Amino acid sequence: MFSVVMLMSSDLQLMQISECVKRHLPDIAVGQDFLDYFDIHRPSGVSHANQIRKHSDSLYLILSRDRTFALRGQIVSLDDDTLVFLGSPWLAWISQNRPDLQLSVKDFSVQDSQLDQQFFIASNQTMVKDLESINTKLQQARDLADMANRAKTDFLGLMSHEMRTPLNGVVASLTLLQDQLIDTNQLALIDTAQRSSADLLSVINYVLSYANLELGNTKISEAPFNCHELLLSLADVLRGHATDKELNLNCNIDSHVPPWLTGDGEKLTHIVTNFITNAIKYTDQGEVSIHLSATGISDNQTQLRVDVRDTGCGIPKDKLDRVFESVWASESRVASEETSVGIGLDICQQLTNMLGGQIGCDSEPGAGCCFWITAPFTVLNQAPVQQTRSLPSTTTTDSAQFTGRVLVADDSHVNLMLTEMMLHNLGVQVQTVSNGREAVERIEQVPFDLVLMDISMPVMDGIEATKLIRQMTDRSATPIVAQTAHNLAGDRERFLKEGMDDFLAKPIAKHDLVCVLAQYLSLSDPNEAESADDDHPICDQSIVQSLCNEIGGANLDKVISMFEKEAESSLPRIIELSNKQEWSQVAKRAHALSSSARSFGATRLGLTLKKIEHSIKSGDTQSPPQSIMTLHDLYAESMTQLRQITQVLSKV
Amino acid sequence: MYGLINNAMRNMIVESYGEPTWDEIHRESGVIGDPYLAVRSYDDSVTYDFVGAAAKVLDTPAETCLELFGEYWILKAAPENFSALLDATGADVLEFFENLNELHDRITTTFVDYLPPTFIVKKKTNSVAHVDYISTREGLTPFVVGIIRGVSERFSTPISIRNQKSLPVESGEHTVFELEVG
Repeated sequence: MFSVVMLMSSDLQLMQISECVKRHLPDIAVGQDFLDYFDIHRPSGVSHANQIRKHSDSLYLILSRDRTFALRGQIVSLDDDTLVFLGSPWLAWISQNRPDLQLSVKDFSVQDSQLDQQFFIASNQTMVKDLESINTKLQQARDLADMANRAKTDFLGLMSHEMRTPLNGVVASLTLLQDQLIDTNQLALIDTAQRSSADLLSVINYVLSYANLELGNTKISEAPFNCHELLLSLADVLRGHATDKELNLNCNIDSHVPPWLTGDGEKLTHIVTNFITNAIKYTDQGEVSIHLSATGISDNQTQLRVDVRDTGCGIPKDKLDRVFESVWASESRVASEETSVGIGLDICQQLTNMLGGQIGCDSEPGAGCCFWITAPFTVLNQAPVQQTRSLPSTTTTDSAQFTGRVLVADDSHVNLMLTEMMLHNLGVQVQTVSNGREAVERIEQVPFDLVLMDISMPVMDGIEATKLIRQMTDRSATPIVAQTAHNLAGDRERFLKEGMDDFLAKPIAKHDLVCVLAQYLSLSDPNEAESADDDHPICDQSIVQSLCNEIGGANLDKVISMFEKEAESSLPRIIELSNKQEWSQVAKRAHALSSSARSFGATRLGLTLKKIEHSIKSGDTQSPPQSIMTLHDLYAESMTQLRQITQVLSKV
Repeated sequence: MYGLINNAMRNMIVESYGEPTWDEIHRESGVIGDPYLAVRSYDDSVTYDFVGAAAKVLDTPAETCLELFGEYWILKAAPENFSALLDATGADVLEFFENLNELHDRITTTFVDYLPPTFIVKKKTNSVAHVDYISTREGLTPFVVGIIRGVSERFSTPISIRNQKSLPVESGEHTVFELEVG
C-alpha cells in the first residue's frame, strides 16, 4: 500500500525503516531520532512528539536534514507507544531539487498517483506545444493566403489597366479614323470595328468584375443615397443611347417611395444600369420603361423594387431560367442575337444576393422583357446634412453647363461610364482612368481643371494618388474631389486631411455633381454663344500663356499639334454631316471641338462652334450652315495666331 | 493509437529525410487531416497506413521501418515526452523490461484509451532472459525489436536476440524473445 513505512516509538525513535527509504538515505538507521533526521515542512510548527499525535489527520511533508530526499505521507498512532509514518517519496520536491536522483516506479506503490500526475502534466504541456505549433502554421497559411489574394487583386488591377489601355487606344483610333473617312463602305467597316471593340471592353469588364466577386473583393457598403435621384439620373444619362435608336426612355417613380435610403446605392446603380443598357441594346423599336416602387414601408425599412421593361424581342421560355447563370455555367453559348441577353446578369444576381434581395425576369417571346430587382433598404426620414449642397442662384441643375477638363478615376467601368456621360452632358471635357497610378501618369502629361478621384482602387488607391499629385502640382491648380461610397462620420475630414478638396458621395447625384463643378469650373454662359463673334478675339493670349506656364513650351507645341490634328479631322466631318443634315451628330462634334478650341485659347472658333451646337439643340437648323461655312477660315486664322503666340512665348 | 505515436513517426522521417518526404508519405497513406495531436486518440489504421506508405516511399520493407521507429521511440520520442517516467522505469535493461507494464499502467491513467502490450520477463540465467511480448495488435513485433535495440543503446549494454518465436494466438500477437544481455 505504501512504499515508505517508518515505525517509531512514542518518543520518535526509529524502529523499522522500509527499503525505499534505505535505498535513498543509506545512512538512516534504526534507533535514530526521527526529528534528528527529518525536518517537518508541513504541517507547520510541529516539532514535538505530542504535537505530532495531534496532527494524525494532516498531510506530512518532510525533508531529510541534508536536503537530499523528501517524503510525503501521514503519521498515525498504532497504539499509545507506537507511531508509524506511511507514505512515499515527495515527487514534486525531488523533481525540483534533486533532478539527478534516480527514482524507480518501485519507489511508488501502485495506488500512488504522483507519477501519473507528472505524466499528465507533461502530456498537457505537449498538447499546448502542439496547439501552438498548429496555430503558428494556421497564421502562416492565412498570411500566405492574404498575400496571394492581394497579389491576385493587384494582378487584376494591372490586367485591367493593361487590357483597357490598348483597347482604349483602338477605340480612340477608330473614332479618329471615322472622322477622316468619307467612303460609306469604309465607314461601315469602322462602325463594325467600333462595336466589336466596345463589346470586347464589355467582356473584359465582365471578367474583371466576376473575378473580383469571386475573390471576395466586393464588399457591401452602407451610405445614404437618394433613390429618386438615382433613377432619374440614370434615365437622364442613358436617354441619349435610347434616342440614338429612336426609342423612348421613361422613368416613373411611385409617389409613396421614400427618397432617402441607407444602403449600397452603388450596387443598385450597377444592377439597374445593366438592366437599362441591355434593354436599349436588345430593343429595336418602341420604348424602355423604368418603374420604381416600394412595399412594406415602415418607419425604418422598405423593400425597394425596380422594374425595367422593354418592347424588344423577348426571351424564349426555355432560356428564361438560365438568364442569370454565369457564362461559365452555361452548357453552350451561341453568339447569336437570340441568346443575347447580355453578359453581366450573373454579376447582377450576385450583387443582388449581397444586397439581400431578389432578382428576376418576366418575358414572352415577341413581347419584350421585364427585368426586376427587389431589395431591402433602411429608410432615412430626412436628407443627411452633408448631402445638401446649393447651386449659385443663377444656375439650375438642368441648365448648368461648364467649361473645363475633368479627369475621372474609378475602377468601376459602370461608374466611369455614367460619370463620363453626366459630365459630357454638362459640357466638360472628360478623360477617364481606372486606378490611381493611371491618374498620376495622366496628370503628368495633361493638366486638368478638376479630378474626381475614387478612393478604393487597385494598383494605387485614391489617397496615395492624391499625395503624389500634390507633390507634382499646386493644390489650387488641380482640385481633387473624392468620389466614394465611404460616407461615414469622419470620412470627409479624413479625405480633406489627405489632400483632397471636397467629397462626392456615391452614387453621384447630378445635383451634387453640378454643385461641385460650379465650385471648381467656370460656368459656360449660354448667352455667350449668342454674342457677336467679332467681340471676341480670335486667340486669347492669356489662356495660351497660362497653358505654357503649366506644361512648358515644348509640351505646349505638342498639345497644339494634337488639337490641330483633331480639328483638321473634325471640321471636314462637321461639314459633311451638315450637308447630310445629320444635325445631332453635328451638334455633338461641334460641342467636342468647341471645348478643345477654347482650352487652347482659340476663343472665337470655340464660341462659333458653341453657337452652332446651341442653335441645333434649340431646334434651329437654318442658321448653323452659315456659321459652318466660316469654320475653315476661322480655324486657319486661329492656328496662325496660336503658332505666333507660341513662338513668342518660347523665346521668353 | 495516440497522436503522440504518429507525431513521433513524422518527426523521425522529417529528421532523417526532410519535410517533403513526410508530406509525400502522408499523401501516399491516404490519411486525411493531421492526426498528430499528442493526447488525442486516433484509429490504429492511421498509424498502419503511415507505416505502409513510408515503406513504399522509402523503398524499404515495412518491418525495417518499424524497427527503426522502435529505436527512435526509446532513444528520442519517449524521453522528449515523458523523461521522468521513463527514467523511473529502470536503471538497467532487465529492470526496464520488468517495469514496462507498470510504466504502461501509469501512462494509461492519462491516456485512458491506451491499449498497451504486456511484457513478461523470465530470467533464465544471469545474462539470459525470456521476454514475452503479448499484444492485442498485429504486426508490431518489429517495433519491439527496435525497442530492444534502443534499450541496449540507452543503457549502453549489448543485447543480442538469440531467438525470436511467434506463438499462435487467436488474435493479436505473442512473440517470445530470448535475450542475452551484456
